[in-house]
Amino acid sequence: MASTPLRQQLSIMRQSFFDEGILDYGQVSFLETLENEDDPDFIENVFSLFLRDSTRYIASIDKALETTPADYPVLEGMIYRLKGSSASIGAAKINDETNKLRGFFGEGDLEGAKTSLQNLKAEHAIFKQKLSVYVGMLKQAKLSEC
Amino acid sequence: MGTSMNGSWKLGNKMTALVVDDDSINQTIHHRLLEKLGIENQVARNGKEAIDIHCSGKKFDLILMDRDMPIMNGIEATRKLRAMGIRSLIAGVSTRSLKQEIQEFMEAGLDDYQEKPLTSAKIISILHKIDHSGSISLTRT
Repeated sequence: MASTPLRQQLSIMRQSFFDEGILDYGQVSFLETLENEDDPDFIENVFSLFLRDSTRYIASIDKALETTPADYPVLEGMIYRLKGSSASIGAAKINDETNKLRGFFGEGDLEGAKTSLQNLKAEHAIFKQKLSVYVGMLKQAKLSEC
Repeated sequence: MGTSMNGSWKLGNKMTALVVDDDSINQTIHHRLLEKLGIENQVARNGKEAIDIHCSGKKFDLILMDRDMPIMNGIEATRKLRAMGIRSLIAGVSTRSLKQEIQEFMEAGLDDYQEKPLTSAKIISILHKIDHSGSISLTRT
């Protein structure tokens, strides 16, 4: 595939995600092997799915923590979903923060969990902003190559 | 990273699999991963759906079973499938890493357990168990 300016920009962005620890190189490289002519939009689709679902999981965790008493079944379910999906997509920092949140939850430390959730939300906001731009540019690059 | 996806697996019989996971990202990735390995597969969103699919008469060589799911979790679903006489290779797939959590899941009737994220190397390790059991002819091309 020709290295257009857009593709070069995408390559630089992709590398920056690894350098900043936002994405795990190994897991993303593996996901990229699953994309081919049979499923040419696989990467865009999984990143878009994660952007959508992770937002929902975090909102559910937030609500469950603010409920009195805290909604433990919902909290546990959402934390494990976010832990699993962030690991599968290679969202390293989100996965790290989710693990920390899980730790506080496991110890019954709700105040610690609330503070940890704020860190998770901050990392998620950065991830969402950067990956939304990346996915948009990826779509643009593919359209211009048709 | 890990095992290359370039090697393809030649199957003596057509292998089938069921992905049981409530998360849409994992459903998508695991479905695609199996598809690329030439394994015909479908997705169930929770343990109850997995049971219902089996009750409809469908059988699979491999079941990838998530642990934490709503309605019916992977532990309960695995127990029920074994009680139904299902002898498919059931591999538990979860982010849980504590020894007692894994043991609880294994004791429900799993043949294997892999921690998420699933990779081609982990799937191939699971597939080797099917190969060695003699139920499927599997060679690397």
